Amino acid sequence: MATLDKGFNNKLNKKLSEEQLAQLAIDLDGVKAKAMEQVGSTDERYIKKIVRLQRSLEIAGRICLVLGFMSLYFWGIGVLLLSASKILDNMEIGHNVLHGQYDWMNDPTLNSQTFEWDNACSSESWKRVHNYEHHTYTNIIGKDRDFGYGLLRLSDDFSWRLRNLWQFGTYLILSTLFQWGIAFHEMAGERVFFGKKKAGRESHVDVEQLKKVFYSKSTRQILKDYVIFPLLAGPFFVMVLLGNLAANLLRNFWTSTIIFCGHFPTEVYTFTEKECENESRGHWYYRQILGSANLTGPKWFHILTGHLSCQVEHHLFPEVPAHRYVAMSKEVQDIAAKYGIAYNTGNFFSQYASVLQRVIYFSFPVGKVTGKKAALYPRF
Amino acid sequence: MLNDLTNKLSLTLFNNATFKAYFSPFSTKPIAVLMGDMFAAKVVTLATENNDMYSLTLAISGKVDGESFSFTPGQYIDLQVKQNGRYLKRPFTISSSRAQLKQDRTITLTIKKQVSGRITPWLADTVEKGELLAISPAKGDFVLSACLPTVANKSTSKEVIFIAGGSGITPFHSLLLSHVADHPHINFTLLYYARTNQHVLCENLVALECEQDNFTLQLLHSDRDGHCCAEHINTITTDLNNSVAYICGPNAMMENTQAVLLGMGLAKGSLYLEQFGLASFSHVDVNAARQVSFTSTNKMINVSETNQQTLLTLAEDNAVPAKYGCRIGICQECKCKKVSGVVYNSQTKTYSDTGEEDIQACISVPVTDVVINL
Repeated sequence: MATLDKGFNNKLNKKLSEEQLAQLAIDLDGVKAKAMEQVGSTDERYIKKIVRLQRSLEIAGRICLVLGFMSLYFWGIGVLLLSASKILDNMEIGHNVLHGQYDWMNDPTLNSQTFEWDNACSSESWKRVHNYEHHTYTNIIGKDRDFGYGLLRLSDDFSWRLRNLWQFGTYLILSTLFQWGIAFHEMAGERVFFGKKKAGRESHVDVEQLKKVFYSKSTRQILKDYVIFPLLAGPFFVMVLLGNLAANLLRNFWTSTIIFCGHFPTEVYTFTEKECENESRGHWYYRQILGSANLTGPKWFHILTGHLSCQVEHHLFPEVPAHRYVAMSKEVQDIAAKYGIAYNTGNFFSQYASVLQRVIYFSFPVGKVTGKKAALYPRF
Repeated sequence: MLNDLTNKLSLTLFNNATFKAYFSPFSTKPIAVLMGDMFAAKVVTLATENNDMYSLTLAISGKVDGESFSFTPGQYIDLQVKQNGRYLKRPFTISSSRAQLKQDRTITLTIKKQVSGRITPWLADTVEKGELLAISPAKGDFVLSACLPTVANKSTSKEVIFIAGGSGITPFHSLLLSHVADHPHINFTLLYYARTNQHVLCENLVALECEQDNFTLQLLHSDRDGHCCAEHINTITTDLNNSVAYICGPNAMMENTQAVLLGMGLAKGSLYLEQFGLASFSHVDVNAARQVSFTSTNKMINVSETNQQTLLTLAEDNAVPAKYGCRIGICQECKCKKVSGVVYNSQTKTYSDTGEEDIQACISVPVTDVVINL
């Protein structure tokens, strides 16, 4: 396994005083204001270019899948092109558009209120669970259901249960079916089909409405990839169906892996509700840095992750067009250093290895993490 | 029916409401034109009228809801431009005649450069011949047909008085060029107030006065002749009881002129006013009382000048259903459409545009009268 000590000095994270937090908020607001001032035709041209690329990849991919009857190479290329298209649609386009990063353009096709993506999860449900719950309550155990998705034990905030013993398998299944996992995420939180609703959970949606939207979106997605496009291919029905399935799986693995790298590497902090009651803007910023982790890599890698490789910047500035995060990260790192806040970053392999380490570590009935390990799984 | 089916198919196959929307990134046309929500408006000419006004002539094509562009003189359109990657709309009155549209499918907008306005000075500097903009279908009821029933009831003379102040000339230019010849039984008079050397669009009006007996043009110089007063009115009519009057110009001019006419015995029902455009933000008093209108619930809420509540709180306090999430400007759940007016973003500490756009209700405080789709 790759080296897991990212070289952080844990003395770094002495809790900041209220004055420091207020100053931190001013500094980070400044970084944001500077970026927003520059937002304009550069961003418009960028996102339009990415959308054109996505459309081209999708069309080329679907054609190649049909041409698979000539050579299996075509089929393979078709799968790769189609999955790249789905990844761009979900990550660099969908995820970012749904955060309202391009609403200022007043373009109805790239608007957070109307955009729909190539994913089993309806954008409506995604916005409630991801934009609202996850981004507001990031890593607050009990409030942010994304920390373990209600399936995995990823910190000692949760007590151990027998099912955690095979949670590595659960993780692999979740990764494989990731789009269905997030499609079902809100219904699981609302305990629509089973379980008792968690006390204190505030519902923002009617259960019937939730079910209706889930069924209609998932039906459309199944019809598209497993009925209509295969039927359009006539005699090559099965080939296209399998190609679509493969592309969906590749997209699932990729998105799940990148998303796990955003909050679950070692040295990412978790929080309790009490610590975050009536928190200041500075504290919210502070928590976003401590609760997120970045990935380093080349430009194409950042684009394919939808710039979630800059998870820290994304959590600080979710409404800033994401392609600006890489440039902003330098300033954010300087600010983090100024206040002695650990900034969690590393290359994909070391970060992902440490995610897997976390999944495995907490599958065993270890109690409260102490000693050297406590530095790897810090609680605020 | 077929349309519904193709749209359903597009939504299923491409997660876009229409196939057009899916392919739209490959087009350079304005998205509203492509989607058939607005007409295409190609820039034909840009002519300077005086030091702060210019005329933009646009060739109109395309269809909205299956209809070609048409308008009634006196109406306005929303012009959509793309400024620094962002679509913005502004209302402008059509100053050209209906004959011009019929002849070569063009309209002319005569535009005043708003001091510190975001669009009007910029457009004059950057717009290029051949550039493709978009316009909405024509709107507004500042039209001649509004007064025709009243005019028909007048027994003696049939007088229609138009009073323009500054850039308020635009609707009258269109109204007069289009209607004077068609209504020989009506006597039209235009009182046009502007500072010396600032009268615009006079050429056609002077020619019209020569050609038509039923039209009188009076150019008044507000720096010399002063504002509208009883004396000015007496020079054009002795019988205000049998007249109707249309006024368009800056707010102060409209208020003054209205008071003069009503004081001289003009019936209130014979008076037609056009609020001329929206004040640009530099002219807005952020400390004034304001009114928030929620369109879907038809609720109008008066907000006092000291009230700094956000739109979300105002909506909730007044039982207007509104979605919400984090309440601190992160999640965008409360995003709603602002139809018009200016709001202050309490988080970024910036003011919004004056036109239509999406805003976050939980951090937006109204600073002018605003209309919100909630």
